[in-house]
Amino acid sequence: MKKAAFCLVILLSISYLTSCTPLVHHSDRFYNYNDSDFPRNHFPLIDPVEATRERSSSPWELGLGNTIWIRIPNSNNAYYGYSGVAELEKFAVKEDVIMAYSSYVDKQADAYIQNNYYHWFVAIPDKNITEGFHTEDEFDHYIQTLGIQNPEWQIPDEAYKKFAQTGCLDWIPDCK
Amino acid sequence: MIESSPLYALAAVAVAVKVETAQPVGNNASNIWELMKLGVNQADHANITGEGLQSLKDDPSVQAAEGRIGAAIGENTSYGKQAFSIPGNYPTNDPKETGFTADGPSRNFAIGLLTQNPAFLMVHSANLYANNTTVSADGTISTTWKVVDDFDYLPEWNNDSRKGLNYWEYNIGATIADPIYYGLLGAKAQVPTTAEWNQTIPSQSGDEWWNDSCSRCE
Repeated sequence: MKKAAFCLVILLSISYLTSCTPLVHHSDRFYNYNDSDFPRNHFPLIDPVEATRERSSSPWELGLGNTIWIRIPNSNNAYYGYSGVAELEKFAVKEDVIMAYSSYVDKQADAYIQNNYYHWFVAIPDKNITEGFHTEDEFDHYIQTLGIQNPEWQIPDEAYKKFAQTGCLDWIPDCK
Repeated sequence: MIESSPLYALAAVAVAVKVETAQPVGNNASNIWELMKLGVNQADHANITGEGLQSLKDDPSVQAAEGRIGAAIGENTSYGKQAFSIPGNYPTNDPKETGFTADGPSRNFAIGLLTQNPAFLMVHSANLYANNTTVSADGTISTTWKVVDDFDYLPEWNNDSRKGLNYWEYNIGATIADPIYYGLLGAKAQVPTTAEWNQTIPSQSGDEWWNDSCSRCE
């Protein structure tokens, strides 16, 4: 009985220690798991763009870095600003280009904005480029001008799971 | 376990007396006791006013968020050239721009707690928006800043969005407060909370926004 208990303790200790594998620490703190004191789940794409969510039951949001300003027609020079991608469904990172998709529509926005809402997004932080598109065809045409075809789409939940376990993602500079 | 200690019982009675004697005006709360009283009264929402509002306006992390949002508005191609407006809340979906953690002037959790900083106790982590903003042709921004939060003391031991020290600080604090606020006083689980103030910001260049927000946050 004592021997069995001893073995159980050893097994539990080994499983505990292996579960505590330290996360990879990056020279650029933006890419670290604990980079922010603001309590949200997050994983980095390309500095300064990251995906965040309030808690595990909340949708993912992607901050775009730069706002896309859309002038509302027939208004007194009123604008709607896309500062992020709400309810992020999938994303891709190819070298310095971030691509994202969401079917979300902002129900608080002006009717024109709602009827012409952007669902596809491209951000190139190094070049200060942020673009939005209504359709997949428009999006595909644009990324082809960047030399990208058939992006490798990622699901935010899966990327976060990997990041939380390892501190690494394929596109993080010192994880390659 | 901690609830059975005499010191805890004494603290619980002191808190209960403070909350029960607090007198919020309508749905307005100017301090933590009035806000807790609104929770005990099952209020459908609470407005932070008076001392609590001033504490939020003075908080370096709130001012840093103001700076980030102001800088983003200043990037509009019409800025400084012609008048424009931004109806509704801005930014819409960018918690990195809107999110802040109010720890008080020291920006330190422990000091915020020990000095009973109103912004720390009444809000702590929340989002800031610029609501119904107008910008004149010369670049002067007029906006209503709006803090949106849910007031609660619910421990979140299973919520891994809080990381490191913040996870332990929040959950230990909430675990201590939980039996008093919910158990003894029977408060509502979460009270939607807002705080609003108007501001007119003179024309600034992008660099000035950036420098201003950073000098405040250091």
